[in-house]
Amino acid sequence: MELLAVIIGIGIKSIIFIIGMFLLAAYLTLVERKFAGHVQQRPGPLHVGFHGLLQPIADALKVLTKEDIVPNFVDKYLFYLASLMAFVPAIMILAVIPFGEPITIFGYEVKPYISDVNVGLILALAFGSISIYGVIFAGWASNSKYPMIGGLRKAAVLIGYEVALGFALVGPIMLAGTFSLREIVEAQQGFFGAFIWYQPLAFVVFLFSILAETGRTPFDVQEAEAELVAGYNTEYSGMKFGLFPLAEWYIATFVLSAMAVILFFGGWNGPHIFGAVSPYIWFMLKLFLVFMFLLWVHWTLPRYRVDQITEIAWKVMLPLTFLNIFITAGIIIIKG
Amino acid sequence: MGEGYLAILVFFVISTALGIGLLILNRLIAPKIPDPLEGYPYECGVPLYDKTSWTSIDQKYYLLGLLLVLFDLEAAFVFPWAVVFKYIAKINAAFIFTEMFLFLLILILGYVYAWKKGALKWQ
Repeated sequence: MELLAVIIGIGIKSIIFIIGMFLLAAYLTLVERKFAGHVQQRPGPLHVGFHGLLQPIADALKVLTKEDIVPNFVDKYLFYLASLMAFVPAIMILAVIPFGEPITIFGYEVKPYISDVNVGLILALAFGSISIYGVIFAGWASNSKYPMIGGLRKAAVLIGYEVALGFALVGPIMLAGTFSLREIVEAQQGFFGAFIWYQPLAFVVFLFSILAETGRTPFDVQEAEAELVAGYNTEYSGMKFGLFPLAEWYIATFVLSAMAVILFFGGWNGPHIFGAVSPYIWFMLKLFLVFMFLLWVHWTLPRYRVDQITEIAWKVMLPLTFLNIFITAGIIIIKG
Repeated sequence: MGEGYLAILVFFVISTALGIGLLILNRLIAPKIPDPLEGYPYECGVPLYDKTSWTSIDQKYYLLGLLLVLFDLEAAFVFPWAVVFKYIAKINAAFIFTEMFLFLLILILGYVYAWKKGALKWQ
């Protein structure tokens, strides 16, 4: 009976988190489209609601009411599974991301995270990697030339950044001495406690990996519009299609920006100038700065060729991470 | 501790249910207007040269793929070392340093060998 109560409690919290994430992701689409519009000197969405404020709702309704087409030659189960494989692991990263310290409201302890397991970082890495398989499966299952090439390219990008990402995270872990994301934040007290000051190399590699994992522009070879029509999701329509950009561009980018904030920018640590809610305000502020930085990169840079991406990852990023591990170990030993 | 994993399981079930629910909802409320060419794969409007794309494709990163498996495993070995590094460095810095850097040295030797052999190039 007690177990049931715990499960129901967690379930309600999970639903709140997921619905919150959905609304946020919907409005992140608007943020991105407005931002992209102004980067390219056009207004962006303007007609649905005041300055396009209702545009995300219109988009969601449109995606939901589009015909659900399954082309003739596809592998049907894999075709549906692929969009779930992209969506579910991307949103699963949210389960291990802490948004603040536990607080007490009316004598009841509220934890602003789903779960604080002591392998949080590893789980986040694992979910992030699994969500890439959705893209690769989509390319394979479509049984059409353009998605196939898109999927293979995504596999090549995955092969490139995955190793560098793993070794880059060794530095922050060494400084914090834990995998728990909450304790990593606690290890970064004060302005000069943030790991970005000690791990600039790891941060550069981590940014590279975020851009590659979420398929944003310098590394968006899997859906290069000029070459591959729409890339891996050419054959998709309706909600099956809708889950891909939602997962890759918005949910994954958002939660990986949160990871960057937790690992390098001290999470919710900051001056207590907003009263009781200041940790949340700091966390969201930092998160949106990282997110907007990613958008900025996306809408200004041209794209790399896929062989250049793997060569950068293996010949520049990987030696940098090795160097970073050596430097970090030396600093920790010297400082004692 | 067990509660943390239980929470992840519950979250997984709910998010999967939501994903499936969205796909089913789309099937229920979307119109179905069949069209003879609807199920045709996208190919710029010309007839398909061959019906399937599941043929043998020359992908150029076979060796990189093998190296990925190796190096990702090595990264998994480095993680536990990184977690305890700070604590053991206080007790016996020379031991923990040489211990892992022998391991990393062998890894880096293999990496240099692969580079010299041209395995990192797009073949």
